[in-house]
Amino acid sequence: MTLMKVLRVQKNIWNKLTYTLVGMLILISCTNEDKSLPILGEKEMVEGQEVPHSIPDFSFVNQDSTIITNDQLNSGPYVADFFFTHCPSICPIVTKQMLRIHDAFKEENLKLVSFTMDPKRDTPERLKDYASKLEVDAPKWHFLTGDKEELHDIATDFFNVVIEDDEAPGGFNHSGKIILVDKNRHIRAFCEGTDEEDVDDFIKDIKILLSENED
Amino acid sequence: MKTSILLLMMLMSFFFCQNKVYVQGERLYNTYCSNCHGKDGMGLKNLYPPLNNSDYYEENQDMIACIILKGLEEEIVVNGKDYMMPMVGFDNLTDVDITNIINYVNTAWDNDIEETTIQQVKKDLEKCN
Ligand code: HEC
Repeated sequence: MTLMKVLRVQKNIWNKLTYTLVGMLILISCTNEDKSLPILGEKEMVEGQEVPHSIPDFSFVNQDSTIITNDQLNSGPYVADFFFTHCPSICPIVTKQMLRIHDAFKEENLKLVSFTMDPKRDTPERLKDYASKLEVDAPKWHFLTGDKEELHDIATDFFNVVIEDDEAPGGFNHSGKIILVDKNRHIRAFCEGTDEEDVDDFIKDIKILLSENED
Repeated sequence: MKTSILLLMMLMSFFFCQNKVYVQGERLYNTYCSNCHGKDGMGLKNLYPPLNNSDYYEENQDMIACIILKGLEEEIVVNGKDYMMPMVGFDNLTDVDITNIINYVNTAWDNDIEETTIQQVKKDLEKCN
């Protein structure tokens, strides 16, 4: 064998080894992906340091006229959606899926939070009426109302760009997303609340997060 | 040969179409009504009343056209449960649309209610307030 031939054979072996290694790495990373959820959203700069996106402080009133801040919610993860009681279009479908999540995690340390986008009409009394018709209560499921600007700001922060739009049914144009927030205020997953199959996957994501918190 | 295949296909399409008479009504229902009343007509808890097996629906057949056109905002009792949430009317729907929706609901799911006609719907709509 000439030297060139030896080198070529060696190169071949190396190539194969690299491919196998890369393949194994991909496999490992794929299996790991099931086990933990990413932190979503743009990183923020705080005092020159990059930190993950987190939900800012807020203070709203729930259906029992109790003040609810981020602190009250962060004993565990919660799922959030945006709605209003008069909504003629997609909210009823999303509410139905929220109810599914509620029923699936009745005993677990998971809360639900529905922010109204129509605080003028959705007073605590009206939210109470809505909640009791759905047969759900605080503190498992909070329906929150408050300052209109603050509600819109928080919705924007939750990925939802909420634009008041007279053309849209009910006078509001907003998305039907359901969002999962962990106890450290990070958004970990979301789904289309109008798509039952998407919600099936989302329920699996919630289970992953809950098992993470148990450790 | 060709004509017999054609005949067979016509016969088959005739039978298949017989099964789903109110395709148009079903489409309109899924666009305008199913959000609240459900694709299965079961409603949602005590918020949205059912249209499947609803005693209110069956007993108030002459009012359904007006409910669809003008909405409903009064306390009603459906199958022994109270409902009080405003339903907004659909004034963009034509008499034909309304007839198709009613006939779809009357024959959908477990419902087996006598079908209505466009003449009847027009008469019912004259009495809306
Ligand atoms: C935004 C939600 C919503 C939509 C969309 C909606 N409804 Fe309703 N519907 C209601 C509510 C709420 C009531 C109870 C009204 C009340 O208490 O006065 C109701 C009541 C009814 C009733 C009488 C009660 C019963 O169960 O028999 C009928 C009939 C009805 N709706 C038909 C329809 C039809 C047909 C459509 C589509 C064209 C439709 N609704 C669309 C919310 C809705």
